[in-house]
Amino acid sequence: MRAATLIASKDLKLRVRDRSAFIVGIIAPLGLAFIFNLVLGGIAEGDFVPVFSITNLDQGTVGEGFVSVLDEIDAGGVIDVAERPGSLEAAEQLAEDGTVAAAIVIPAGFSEAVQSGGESSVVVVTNSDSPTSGEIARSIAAGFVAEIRTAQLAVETAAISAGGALTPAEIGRVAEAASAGLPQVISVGSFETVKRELDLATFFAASMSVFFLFFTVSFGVNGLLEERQQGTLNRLLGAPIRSMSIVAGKALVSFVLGIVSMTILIVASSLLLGSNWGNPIGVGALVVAGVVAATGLMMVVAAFAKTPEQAGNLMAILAVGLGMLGGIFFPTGLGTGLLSYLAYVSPHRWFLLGMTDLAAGDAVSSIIPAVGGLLAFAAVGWGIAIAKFRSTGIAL
Amino acid sequence: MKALTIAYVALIRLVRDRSNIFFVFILPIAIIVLIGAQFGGGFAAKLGVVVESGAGELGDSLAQSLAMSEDVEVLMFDSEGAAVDAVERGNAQAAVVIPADYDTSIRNGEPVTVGFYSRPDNQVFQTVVQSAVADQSAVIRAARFAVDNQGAVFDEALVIASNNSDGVTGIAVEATTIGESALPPDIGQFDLGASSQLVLFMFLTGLTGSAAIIETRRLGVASRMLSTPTTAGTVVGGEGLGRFAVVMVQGLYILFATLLLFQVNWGNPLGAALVMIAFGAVCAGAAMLMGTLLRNDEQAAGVGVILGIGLAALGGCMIPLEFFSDTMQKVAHITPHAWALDAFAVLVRDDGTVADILPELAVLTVYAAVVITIAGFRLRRSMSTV
Repeated sequence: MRAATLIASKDLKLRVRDRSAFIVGIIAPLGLAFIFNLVLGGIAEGDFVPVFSITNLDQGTVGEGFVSVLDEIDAGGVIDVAERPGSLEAAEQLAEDGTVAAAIVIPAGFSEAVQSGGESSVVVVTNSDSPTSGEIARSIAAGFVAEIRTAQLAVETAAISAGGALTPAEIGRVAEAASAGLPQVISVGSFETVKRELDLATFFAASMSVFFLFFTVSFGVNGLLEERQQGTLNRLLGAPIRSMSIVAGKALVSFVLGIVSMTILIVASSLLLGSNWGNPIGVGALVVAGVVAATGLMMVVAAFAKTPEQAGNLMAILAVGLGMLGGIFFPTGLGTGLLSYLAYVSPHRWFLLGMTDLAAGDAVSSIIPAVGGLLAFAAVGWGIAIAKFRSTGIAL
Repeated sequence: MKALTIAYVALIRLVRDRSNIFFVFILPIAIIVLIGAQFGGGFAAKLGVVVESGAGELGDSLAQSLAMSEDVEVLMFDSEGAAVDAVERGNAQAAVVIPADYDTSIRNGEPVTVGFYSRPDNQVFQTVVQSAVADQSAVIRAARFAVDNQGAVFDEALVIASNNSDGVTGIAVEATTIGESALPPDIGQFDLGASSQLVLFMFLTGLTGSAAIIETRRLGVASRMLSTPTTAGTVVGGEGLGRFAVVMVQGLYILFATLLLFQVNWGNPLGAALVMIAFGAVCAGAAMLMGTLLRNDEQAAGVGVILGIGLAALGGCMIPLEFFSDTMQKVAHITPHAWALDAFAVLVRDDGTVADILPELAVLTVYAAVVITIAGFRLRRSMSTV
């Protein structure tokens, strides 16, 4: 154990003097998180509330009814009816400018057309840059039109069911009953879910930290191959220490570099970017598990690679490949396809899942699956690496 | 001639380094595939739908009517838990659960509730579901009304209502879309990722390749070249050409691979070639400059990744420039990436010709001239030093 710590402290001194560990471990993740945050910060945040305009050119009650339906949805905070232009042209202009995502216009004579069975259309003009908001506007209009159609169909069905024997006065009474309210058959029961997603400042700090963690820990384990190339490994093996102490020393370097860089990143991103890492105990557990997993996977590469250059390249490929798969740069694991399951092959994914659960305010115990997932990677990595070292020795 | 030989050596070194097979040839295509798979359907809102077993014909038809819209993409989930989880994690904007007793309840005239799940910050999709439900329930509600109002038999009334449902009214919704869309609907599944990854990787590969220049100095290759009857200008020119060749190999590879594998539209061929050459010159200059500024290859790799990815993100390679705020759009155009992407956008989306991208080409050329001049000057001085 003393030998391991001695080797580790020597390597750590080397890494502190060589600036590359600082660049990869701290400057790169912090810099990129800052840039991503800057670029994306203004885009995706905030509640999604589509902005519409309504123009009621109709003189009758049906048009009024529709406006009040819109106002009701507006009052619920789900949409924002921001403008009430006086003409179709003005409404179209607002939609074209993008002042509103969609302009809804009820044409003149709409009520009359509804009551007399004539033809008329609610006009929805949407801005092409807001397809989703446009779809919402069309849906609201379509829902209202469906309601009118249902009332008309109800009257007609009632009249036909009666054998066509109803007098105009009786039909009027049926129509009145229909407009007073139709039986509800299908209702939509609305449930609110929690938000289980990191805000951007936290997501990029977390994703960049775990992405570069894999590069940072590779400095430690790759030290083994450097000693081998420089010929100092044989000298170490000649000393009265167990060969596994040397491996442990190198792993310790990775562990210390990983924990230190992650700690600096967590503190720095909280202060500089306003990242919210959540419960310290939970984050601590995730970081330790993440560092152990990263070291384990990189140790596998170190166990099989022949030269430090080859190991460095393979480690970079593994770190980039797993990071990409785990949703570091853009979300993966969406939907139900094969790719969504593939994302779980990445330790990065497990780390981010754990972070997300913490951010949702779940109890610290909610990260147990994520920590378990990370430790599974660690166990596999360490298992393979140690088996390889046991069977062939570390000197090659 | 000697300059060409030096450049040729740079290419050989690119291909001989086996990790480059991954970073130069596999990774960009893998990213384009991943992005295409995730966002190929555009940035349509995603609605999770669960049709519980037993929801029957009516349940299926409600799910279908939800899937009718182009701007809302339906993701089918097997269980309520999976759908709710997707909503919580932001993978779907909302989820709809059509219950097992949906069909039977409606046919028996019993009220039924469709579950709608959304996050507090995104509740608006309820309107989409309500509209689809209103559409489907029209016939059933009309029939129930006839039963309540005229004492009709439900099954008979249902037949009457459905027979008459098409011709019942002239009231409709007339929907039009105006304005120029940032992302045209006919954009190919892989088109969005292709040009941005081309730009990102040309620059990134250029910068990380600057380690080769550092190596050339450290190993004394530069000094040895200078000891032969070769002028410093030729050596610098050769190194510059070498960087340019590496960057162009990266660019041409992505261009042809995406063209052949995914039929990505690159627009006017001459225009695309000119953008690539101008941007390639910028990348080569940047690589040369970095090669003179840094001391060892590990630093070059680290700084190369930060600058390569950072500038790309800033320049609109990760999220399309159209989504940037006005201020950020201005900031983005500090990077050459944004100009190259603008040029590709004109070529691809507006079917532009070379004449239409002259401003972008001019900016890129000025960029290249400035960077290459500075880099060439520095490289010439630093060639023989370690």
